[in-house]
Amino acid sequence: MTSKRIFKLIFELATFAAMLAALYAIFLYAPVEKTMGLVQKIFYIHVPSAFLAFLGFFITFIASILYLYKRDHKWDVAAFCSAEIGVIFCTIVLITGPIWAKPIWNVWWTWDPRLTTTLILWFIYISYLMLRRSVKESQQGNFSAVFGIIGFVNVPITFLAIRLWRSIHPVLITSRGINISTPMKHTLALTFLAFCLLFFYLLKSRIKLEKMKMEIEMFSALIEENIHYQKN
Amino acid sequence: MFPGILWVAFIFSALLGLSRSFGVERDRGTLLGLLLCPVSPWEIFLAKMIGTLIFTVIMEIFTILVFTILYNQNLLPFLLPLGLVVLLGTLGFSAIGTIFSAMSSTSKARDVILSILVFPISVPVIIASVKATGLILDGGSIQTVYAWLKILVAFDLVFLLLAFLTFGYIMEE
Amino acid sequence: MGSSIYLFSAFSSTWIIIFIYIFSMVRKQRTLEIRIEKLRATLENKLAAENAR
Repeated sequence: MTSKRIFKLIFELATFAAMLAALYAIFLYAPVEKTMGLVQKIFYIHVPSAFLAFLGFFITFIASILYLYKRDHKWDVAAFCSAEIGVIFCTIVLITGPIWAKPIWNVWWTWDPRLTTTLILWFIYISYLMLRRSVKESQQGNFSAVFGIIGFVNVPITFLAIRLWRSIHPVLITSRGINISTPMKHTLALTFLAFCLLFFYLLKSRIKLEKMKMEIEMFSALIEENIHYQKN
Repeated sequence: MFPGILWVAFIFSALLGLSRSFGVERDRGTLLGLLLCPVSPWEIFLAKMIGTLIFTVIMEIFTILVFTILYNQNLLPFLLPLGLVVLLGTLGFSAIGTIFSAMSSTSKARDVILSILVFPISVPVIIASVKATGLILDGGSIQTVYAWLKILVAFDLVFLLLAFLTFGYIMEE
Repeated sequence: MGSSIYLFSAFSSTWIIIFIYIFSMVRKQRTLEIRIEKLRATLENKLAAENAR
């Protein structure tokens, strides 16, 4: 096995192990919160997913800029795949959030600044994915890159929504640091690491899929060329 | 409820102007001619945006007149702050709408794509405008509206800056 | 039962979403791999036929 394949295998095993370890930590290491009870453990999925959604959209932002600057197709691929995975994690946030909210706040949804901006963010990147399917190939890259840049404006707004407006959404990172108990901090860090690895695993797989599609196009083009050459 | 209804009417007028903004160009193939002019893409953007802005402002004036009559509201004492908010909000919406009108004019489902693209991005502008309008109509002074005005101005500047940086790429064929 | 049902549904929806995504990618990868192999074989046949002439 080449070193590249060994590295890939280690990465995949690490992802799997981290997820398993995170699961253990969530249920058997972290204490049960006194006011919210067991439901609070949704926090360990909800928070890392939110950050990873932001990360995904940030990667789309940077890749879009690089695509416009360098015109290399690979940046377009990176932007598009990262947006897809960002949407996946944003969906997870928007599903786990209300599930957590129902027993705690007694409503599935409120038009709170944090919730609203996150929903808008989700819509923006869904629109991004739909834009790609609606325009023709030659302009797909340019248009989605511009949209990827414009859409990112919403990410800082979503993140800072709790600080800018009054919100009932709990604040995690305060000026005194992250104010939860230490075993919870450890569990959060571990789950965050596990989801991070998962994010990059999904990203790599998705990009590989796109590369395979490009390979197919290349082979098809070669065969076409070959047929033409033979006919002449 | 009144500011919300007002702004829904404004948004629809703006969308009408926007879909026509680049739609006509693509249909008649005059976009190439436009690009051949010795002007930068930014100037094309400004021209298109101002066109949409003027169209929308005219529609908004009519809409405000109709609403004043239908809802029996006297808007004269609020004319200046209201005008300012409406102008800033329409400016932001037109800016972002012009960019997306250029993008969506190439596809077949032109208006659908335009709406899908414009609405999520322009939500902060719309919310700020509606809130500011509501505060003004409830009798607040410019001071109370200041926070929302800041947001409006910030977004207008951000959208204009983004248009300046990226419109050239949209204009490429 | 009580509040545990919420915990269960949150975790399981996350798992379902992620697994659906991974499975769809794996399936697409399989189909693409088969196509690449076929194309590669076709190309090689053509080149071999070329060289034989």
